[in-house]
Amino acid sequence: MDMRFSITLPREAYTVAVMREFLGEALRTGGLCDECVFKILLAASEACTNAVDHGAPAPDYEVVARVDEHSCVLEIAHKGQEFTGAGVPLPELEAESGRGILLMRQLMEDVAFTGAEEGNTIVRLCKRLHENEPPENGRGTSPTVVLC
Amino acid sequence: MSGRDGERFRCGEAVVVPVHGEIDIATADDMRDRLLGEAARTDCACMVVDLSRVEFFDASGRRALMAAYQRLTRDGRHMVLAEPAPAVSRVIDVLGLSGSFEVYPLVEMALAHTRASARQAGAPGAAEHRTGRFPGME
Repeated sequence: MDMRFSITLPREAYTVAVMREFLGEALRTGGLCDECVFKILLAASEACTNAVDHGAPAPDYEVVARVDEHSCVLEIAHKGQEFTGAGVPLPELEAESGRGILLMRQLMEDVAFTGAEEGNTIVRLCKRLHENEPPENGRGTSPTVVLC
Repeated sequence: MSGRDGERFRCGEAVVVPVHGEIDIATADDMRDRLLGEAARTDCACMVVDLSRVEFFDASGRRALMAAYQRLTRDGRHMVLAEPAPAVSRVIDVLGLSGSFEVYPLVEMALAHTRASARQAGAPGAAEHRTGRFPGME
């Protein structure tokens, strides 16, 4: 089961829920377990919240998802100000974005901030899928959805 | 921070405010304003935030609850959380909210706490149980 899609959304608060709805439906269709979907949607919500909060003056942000039998990788990107949480110490997180990063790190196996040198801010979230619960084929076969 | 080991305010009257739907960047401030509005409208000594019908909750929700808590505390009022839905419990656990808030597994347990506090303070016994509805995203 391989699935890839991207969606570009206006940098507005309401679109974070739109992203969850779209991504959640795609992940469930791809056969991911409820626990995985919950963690991925919560982490993605935090990353998109950061994009909305810190992405000025970019008018929009992009969510790219790639899912195969081993992992789910999300990239949340915008062309606004650089925002890197890589150096934020976990015990001293007070800022709102810091709380979000703490949640992302708890929920996903890998959280990385990249792309600053190219003028982008990209948060890369990686979730390993349960080895004992491989994704089922779902209702479709290898759907590829691209909405840009 | 207030905790279970210290009772700083008499809590004779309680208002129960249910929170519904998805709490995120788009709705968290509305939830905070709703809680503060209910506190002002009812002039309650204690607010029980019923989180049993929350379907999504992230760090924005945590920030909004903390803002309401700090404001009510400053006004000499008490705020506790009750019956967190699974989506809320997970975030509470990760962010350590239970170290900041009193969290009760059931609304009735939160109300029993307020009644006990009222008796200890010599106030009229029964907690006043009102409800307000949060117009969340449903």
